[in-house]
Amino acid sequence: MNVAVLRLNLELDKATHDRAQLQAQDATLASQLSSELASPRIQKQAQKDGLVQVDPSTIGYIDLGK
Amino acid sequence: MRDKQANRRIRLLLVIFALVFAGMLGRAAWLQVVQAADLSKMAQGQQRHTITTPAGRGTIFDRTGVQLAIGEQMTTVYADPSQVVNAAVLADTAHKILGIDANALYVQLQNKKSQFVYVQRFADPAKAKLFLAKHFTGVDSYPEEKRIYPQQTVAPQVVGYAGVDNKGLEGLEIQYDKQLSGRPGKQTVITDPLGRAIDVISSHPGQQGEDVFSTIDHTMQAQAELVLRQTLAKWGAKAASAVVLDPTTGDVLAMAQAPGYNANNSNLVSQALQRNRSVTDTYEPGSTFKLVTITAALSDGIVKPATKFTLPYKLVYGSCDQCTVHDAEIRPTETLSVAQILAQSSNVGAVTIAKLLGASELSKWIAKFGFGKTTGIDFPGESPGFVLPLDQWNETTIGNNPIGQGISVTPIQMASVYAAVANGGVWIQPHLVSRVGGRAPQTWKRKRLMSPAVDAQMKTMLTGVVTDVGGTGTAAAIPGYTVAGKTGTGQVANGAGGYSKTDYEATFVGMVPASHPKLVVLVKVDDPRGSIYGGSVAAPAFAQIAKFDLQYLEIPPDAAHTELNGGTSAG
Repeated sequence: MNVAVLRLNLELDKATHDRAQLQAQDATLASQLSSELASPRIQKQAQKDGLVQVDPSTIGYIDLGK
Repeated sequence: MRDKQANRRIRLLLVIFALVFAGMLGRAAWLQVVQAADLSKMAQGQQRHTITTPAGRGTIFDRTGVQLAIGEQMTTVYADPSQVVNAAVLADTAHKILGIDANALYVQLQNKKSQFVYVQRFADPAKAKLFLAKHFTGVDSYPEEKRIYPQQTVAPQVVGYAGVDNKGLEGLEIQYDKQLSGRPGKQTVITDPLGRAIDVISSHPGQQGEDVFSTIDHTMQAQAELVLRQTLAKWGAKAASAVVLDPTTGDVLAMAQAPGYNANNSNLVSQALQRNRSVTDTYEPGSTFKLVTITAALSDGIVKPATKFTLPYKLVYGSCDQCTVHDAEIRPTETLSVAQILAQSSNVGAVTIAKLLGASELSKWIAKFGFGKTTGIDFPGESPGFVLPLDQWNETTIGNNPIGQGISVTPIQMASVYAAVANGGVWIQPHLVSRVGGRAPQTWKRKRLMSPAVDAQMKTMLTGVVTDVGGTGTAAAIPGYTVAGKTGTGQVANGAGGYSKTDYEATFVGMVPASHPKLVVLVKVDDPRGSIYGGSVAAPAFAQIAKFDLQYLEIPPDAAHTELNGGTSAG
């Protein structure tokens, strides 16, 4: 009985450790994603690729209520 | 004879056994009864260990769900110099794999009296694994969370930062530190003589810190920061700040400033650069404050937008030497309506109206608008600004307070007052966080500052600032949208009881679309060179920020195109 409890405890400990590692990997990936989404980076890249910001006055909106 | 001798030896042996047995019994009783408690405690101390497992710090998200601050797990590598066998090889390998200064580490490892030395704190986990695989004697590691700001230069002053011990030290990190920190866990384990865990007696899991959801939009924030950097470069200014508010909710969508810095290097930049100036710093608002004077006069029924005044260029309003006020540009005596006084930012007109209103009423309205008190924004170190109490007013106060002199406010105070005008006259407490975990952190205060009728009049008059002939804010116009706002050029105290002759604060605060405002934007530029006026320095920056935000938020235009009738740069 004691041995079984001991084994379970060790397995629980390992599972907790694995969970912590997965959470850490998740945080690292989320951080990388956020860095990739950062506006200054995207704007710089867009400018490099020759893109320019659209003048809002040139955008048309359709009012579906009318 | 021989039997007798044998019996004597047996008896002696018996006595010896009895004595040994009695001794053992006594020792057992001593250990089991008298010393039992102490020994039991000692054994527990050697076998049982309580380990505190730190709680992960919550993440700070922007309003679109992008991480502004997140905890990443790193590996801290340390060494026990008393056990290290070859310090030179260890230091050299650490340099090659972890990239640290081998000489500095070598000196630390030579100190054999020390039992703990960081080889590298917050090392890259992959590199640390490679280093630990070398199995140096006396070297070990533990996982440690490091706060990372993945957006780097976006909103560093707002988000703030957490120190190496993961405690909030600035900005939202300190404001919501309790919620972000969570509760550490505890685990009691039994270890073998080598210290390896062989059983877990009890385990109380830690509670991860709660996530904080900011009202900031990282894209709008980045754009505002970009415009401020360009404005700073164009006008050779010392600093610039901008606030973008949603007037219908009080959400701060952007709170930007320039110069900025990378939030991951917060510990390396000066305290002055880290201050969120929109909340902590005050300035003399100049003409943007005329909104208070005119609103008070309209609300008290003293004037109407069309009420006309004949105004000289210069007005003497008292008997003291300083009791004169004049407009920004020399002009002949003119007849101006209240709407024109606001549009052309006439100091003489504003003081004339204030004199009709009276010191007591003006003071009451200044307090009603919340100046001299903090807005209660959820950010540490908010300044209440400075307002002279009515009993300390002197002869000059009625000549300078109505035009935003002799009074100091914070950008967030001023932006929230204009947001009240945009929101039908109802002021909503500005805030930077919408949710903590799954709930709102608090209920935001609301109060009506003016009647809907006065509010509509103010909006119309503020639109005139941007569209009217002689309006000071024509540079704030955005094609396709109606804009309402006000320019301000505040003087800067020189520290000797007077004003600087060279330094000014150029401000523009406005709302778009003026017909049903969705955004309030305030831009303040400190000490611009070349031009000093809010209309020429801050208004174009306002237009740039608002233009982007309107497009980003897909707010449809409310005007076919805005007719510009020409304007002036004063105000």
